[in-house]
Amino acid sequence: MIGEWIRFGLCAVFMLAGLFIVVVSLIGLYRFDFALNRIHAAAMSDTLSLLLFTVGILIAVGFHAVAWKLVLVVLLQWLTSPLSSHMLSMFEYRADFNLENHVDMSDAEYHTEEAAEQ
Amino acid sequence: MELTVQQCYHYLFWGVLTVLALCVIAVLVYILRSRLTVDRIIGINLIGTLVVIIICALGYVLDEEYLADIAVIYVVMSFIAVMVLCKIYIGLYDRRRKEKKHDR
Repeated sequence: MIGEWIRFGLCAVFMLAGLFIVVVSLIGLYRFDFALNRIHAAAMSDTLSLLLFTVGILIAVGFHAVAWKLVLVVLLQWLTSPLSSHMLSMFEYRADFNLENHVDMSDAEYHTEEAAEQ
Repeated sequence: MELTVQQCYHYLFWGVLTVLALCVIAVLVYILRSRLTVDRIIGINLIGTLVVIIICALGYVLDEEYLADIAVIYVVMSFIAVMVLCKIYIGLYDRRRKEKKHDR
């Protein structure tokens, strides 16, 4: 019986930690000034909070067939989330015309077609 | 009245699901308030992740195993949506920049 309560406590700790990360990333989303910072804040909730929530649910589920699917969810999200963050920052790089004013781009390579022509 | 473990799981999961739903509403408000297109796509990406978490938790609460499969599909679909939107807008901005260069 006490083992069940310990398992519930572990599950609650992981779920509440994941919730904390989600709320922190939302605060970052609202408060940061530049879009690149906001991408960072959103990507934190993409990876870390999904892992914490999934570990919490895995503890609650136990050894079951669903556990492997939840591991697959985390694996796929960890593979795809850096790619989408990268695409978002590439888009921000093209959309923001005065990016040089607040980012140090002294050693940045220019990946636009304009630079390819030169 | 003694509180059983099952009831505690029930309260924990429904409480977490409620807060996550409020977070999704907060992200929607963020999308509506923001001016930049980048911010809107960031919001779409974040809502995709939050919905995946909600689906996983619901799969445990409602005891429906197939919801985990739907979560897998949703991860890939949200990735494709963000990727396609970014590709479209990157092409648009590149073309706009090229036209501006021709005008000069």
